[in-house]
Amino acid sequence: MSEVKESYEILVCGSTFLGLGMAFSGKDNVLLVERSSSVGAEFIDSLQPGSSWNEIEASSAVLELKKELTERNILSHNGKVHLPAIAAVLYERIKNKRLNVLLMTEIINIEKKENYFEVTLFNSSGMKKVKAKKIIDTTSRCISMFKLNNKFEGKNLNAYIHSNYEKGLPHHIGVKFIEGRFDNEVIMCFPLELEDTWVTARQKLHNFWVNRSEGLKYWHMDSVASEFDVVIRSTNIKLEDNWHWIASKSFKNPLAAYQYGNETFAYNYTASNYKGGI
Amino acid sequence: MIFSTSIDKNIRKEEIGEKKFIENYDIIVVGLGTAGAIAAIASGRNNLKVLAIEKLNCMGGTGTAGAVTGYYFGSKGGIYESIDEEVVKLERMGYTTFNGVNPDIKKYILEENVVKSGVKISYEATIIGVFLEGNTVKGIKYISREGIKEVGSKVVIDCSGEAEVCFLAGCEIKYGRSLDKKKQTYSSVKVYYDEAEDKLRHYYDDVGYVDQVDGNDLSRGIIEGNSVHLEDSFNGNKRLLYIAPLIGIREGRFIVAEKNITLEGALNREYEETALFYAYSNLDNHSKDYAFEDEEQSDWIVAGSLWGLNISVAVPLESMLPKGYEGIIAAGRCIGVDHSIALSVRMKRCMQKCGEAAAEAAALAIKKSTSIRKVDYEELRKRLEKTKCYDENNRRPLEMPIPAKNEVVKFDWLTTAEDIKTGMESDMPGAAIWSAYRAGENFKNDLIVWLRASNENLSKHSAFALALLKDEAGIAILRKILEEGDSYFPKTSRKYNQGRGYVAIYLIGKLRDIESIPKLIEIMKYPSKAIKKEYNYDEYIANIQELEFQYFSHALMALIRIGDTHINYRFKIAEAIKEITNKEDFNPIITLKGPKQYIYSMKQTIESIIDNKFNKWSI
Repeated sequence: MSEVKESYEILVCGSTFLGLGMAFSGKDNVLLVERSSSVGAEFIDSLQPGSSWNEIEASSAVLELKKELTERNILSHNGKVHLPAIAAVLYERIKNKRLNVLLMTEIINIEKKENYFEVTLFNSSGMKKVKAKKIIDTTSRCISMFKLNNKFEGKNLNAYIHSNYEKGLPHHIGVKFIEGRFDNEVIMCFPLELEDTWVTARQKLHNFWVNRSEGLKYWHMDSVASEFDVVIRSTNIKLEDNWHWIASKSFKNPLAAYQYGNETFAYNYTASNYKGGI
Repeated sequence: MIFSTSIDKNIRKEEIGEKKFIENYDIIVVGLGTAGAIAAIASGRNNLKVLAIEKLNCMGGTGTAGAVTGYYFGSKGGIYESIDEEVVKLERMGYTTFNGVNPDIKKYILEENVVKSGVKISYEATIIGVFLEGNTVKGIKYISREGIKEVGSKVVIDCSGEAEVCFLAGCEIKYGRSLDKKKQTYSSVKVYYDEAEDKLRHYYDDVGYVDQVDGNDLSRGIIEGNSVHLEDSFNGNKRLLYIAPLIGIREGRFIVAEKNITLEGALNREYEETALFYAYSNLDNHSKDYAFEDEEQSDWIVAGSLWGLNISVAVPLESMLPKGYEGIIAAGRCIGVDHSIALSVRMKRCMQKCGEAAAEAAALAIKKSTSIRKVDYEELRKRLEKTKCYDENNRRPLEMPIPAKNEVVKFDWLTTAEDIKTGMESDMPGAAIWSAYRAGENFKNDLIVWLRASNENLSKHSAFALALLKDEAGIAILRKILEEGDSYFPKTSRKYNQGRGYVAIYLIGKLRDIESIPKLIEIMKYPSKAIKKEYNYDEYIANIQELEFQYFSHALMALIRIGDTHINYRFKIAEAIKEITNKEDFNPIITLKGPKQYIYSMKQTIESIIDNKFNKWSI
C-alpha cells in the first residue's frame, strides 16, 4: 500500500468480493478500507461458497478470475469450490495490482461536506482524514453507519468437518451440509439465532458437536469459521447522496459479487458513462 | 481531564475539562491475545468489575487467531496450563487432532473461562484514545460494533502487543534495534489438514519485514505475507483450511518501564529479588543480519556463537509499569525489555504468565486502594505461587538444549584458567570465550599468553575474548584470520554457529582497527575470495550468497565503526562503500527462516543504513 492520498473518487468499505471488484476496476481512484486483515471474508472466512458458480454470465475480468481458480484446482467444473485457497489468489492479485487497500483500519467518522465526504480513519498510524466523493459500503453489517439495523435473515456458524469412515454428506435435521472441492471437504452450516454473539455462537456450536447425534458420530471437526455466515437480502440502499450500502454477501456467490463491483465501477466511472452516481 | 490520541503517528493531547464516565470498571484489559486472555481471566477471578476489549472476534492471539499452536521453550506453570489441559480434553470429543494446542478449541475454552469469571467482553473493538489526569490513566475511548464508547477504569492492562494504550497515553516507547530501528522478520501462517496423518497442522514461513505501527506498511505486510500461500495447484492431501487472520509479528514497541530488563542484567541474574515469573528461551532472533544488530547481541550471537543458549530471565513488576505513569500496566511482548533480551522473553508460555502476573498486581492494588507500584511484593508473589505462575523451579541455569540427542547441556560460566583453556581449545568454545570476557581483567594475562599457543583454537579464541574486552593484544591474530581465509565454524550452539572468518571481521570493527581498512574494503568488494572452504549449508546459511553476505555485512559494519571513531578516515571509507554499493548489480541477499527459505534482498536495508550513517558523518 503506497502512501494514502488526500482524496479519492470512491472510498469502499470492506475488502469483500464486491469491494475488491470495484477496487480492481477503479484502481487509483479507489481507497478500500477493511477493519480486519481478511479478504473476501464474507464468503471465504464464513465458509459459505454460495451457489450457481457456473451460471454467471461473466464479464472478461470475472472469466479471467474464474479461469485462474479452475487452473489452480480451486474450482471444479461442476461448481465445487475450495474456499480457503481463494484468499491466496486475492492477496496475490492485490499485491500485483498494487491496489490501495488499507487493512486493520477502522472508520471512525464520516462527515458530509459540500461536495465530498470527510472520512476519519484509525489504524496503527493513528487517525487520518481522507476525502472521498462517494462511499460504497459493501459489508454485511454496513459498518459505515452504526445506527443502521442489521438486515440479516439468517445466521450460521459454519465449520469444516470430515469423516474417514463415511462418504458423501452426513444428515442432521436443521443443519445443512455442503460439499467442498475435495473429498472429505465438508462444510457444516450450523444455524444460530440472529442475536447470537460470538460467545453464544461458539457455545452452541461446540455443545452441539460434543453431544452430536449418531448420524455425526464418525465425523470430526477440523476448523470453525472466523466469520458468521449471514443470510442477507438484496441491498442497494442509498444512505445519503453518493453514499450507498450494497452488501457483497447478498449476492449468490463470490464471483457474482465481484462481477457486480467490477462492472458497476467500470460502467459508472469511465469518462463516457460517468453520471455522478451509482 | 486530558484526552490523548494519535494523529498521523504523533500523540496529540487535549485538555477536555471535567469528565464523568457513564460506565466505570475496576480493570479494563485491552487486547485479548496471548497475555490479555489470561489477564482477563485472572482479573475476573478476583471478583472485580472487568471489561475486556479485543480487535478480533476471538481471544488467544498468536496461539489461536495466529495459529502458532506449538510452544517454543518458555517456562511452565500458571493459569494457561489448566486452559491447555481443558483444550486437550475437549479435542478428544470429536475434533481432528491438532499438532499443537487446537486453536479453535482454545478460543472457546478461553472465552468460557473469561465469561465464567464475570468479565464483560467486547469483540471487534479498537482503542482510539486514552483519558488521563496528569500522568494517571483514567479511562479509554474505543470503537466497537455499537459505535464509539468512553469508559472509565481504575487500572488499564495494556495487552495490545504493541503497547497501544501506553503509546496513546504518551508513555515513552522504544522500538527496534539501535542502528536502523528494524525488528525481527515476521511470518505468515496457514492451517491445513494432513490427510495421510489424519491431523491438523500449522505451517509458517518467515516472509519479510514489516513496520506494523505504520498502517500502510502493515497492510502491505499482510498482503505480501499471505500471498505466499498461493500454490500452482491446490489438492486435498494437504487441504488448506485457512490462512491465519493474524500475521506472526515477533517484536514491536517496548515501553520504557520503571525498570528495564537488559541482556546484561539478565545474564547477571538481576531482577530476581522481585521476580513475578521467569521467562526462558534462547535469543531467538530469526533475522540473518546480525552484523547490524545491537553490539551486546552481536557479542553474544556472533562472537560467542551463543544463539542456542537458553537464558532464564526474571521478570519483575517494575518492568511492566510505564515510567512515570499510574493506572496502567503493560503485559505481553511490549514490556520494558531491551531489543536483545526481548528475543528470549517473548515466548507464548511466558507471555501468558505475564498477563496473569499483571492482572494479579492490578487486582491487589485495587483491593488495597494503592498504586500498582506500591503493592507488596511478597503478597503478590504468594498469589502467583498458587497457580505456579511464579515457581522457583523455573529459575534455571544457562542451558543448551540439543534436540537431536534429546539432551539439555547445563552451562556454567567457567571460573578457572584451566577450564577456560580447555574450553577455548575445544570445538565448543563459546562458554569459554564468554567466561573469559565476563571475568574482565581476571584472565587477561592468561589470554595474552595463550595467543602464542600452538593450539590454533586456543590462540584464535583467546584473541576473540581479548577483543570483546576491547584489548588489542590479539589484533595480529584477528588480521591473520582474515588473511588466511579461516573458514572454521564452531559447534557451540545447536544451530546458528558463526564462522571464525567473519567473527574476526566483527571484532576488528569492535577494535576500530585502522590497519585493516584495505582488507575490509577488499572483503566487501569480493566476499567470495574470503571464503576458502565450502560450507555445509543449513537453516542458517542456505547458499553461498548468504555466506558471502555475512562477510560483506560484517566488513561494512567494521568499516562504519572504524569511521565512527576515526574521523579522518571517514571520507576514504565512505568513498569505498559508495563505489561498491552504487554498482548496478549490487543486490546482496539472505534467505528467510522457514521451510521454503524465501530469498530476501538486503539492498534497501543496507542503503538505508549507509545513507543515515553518511548523513551523520556529513558526507
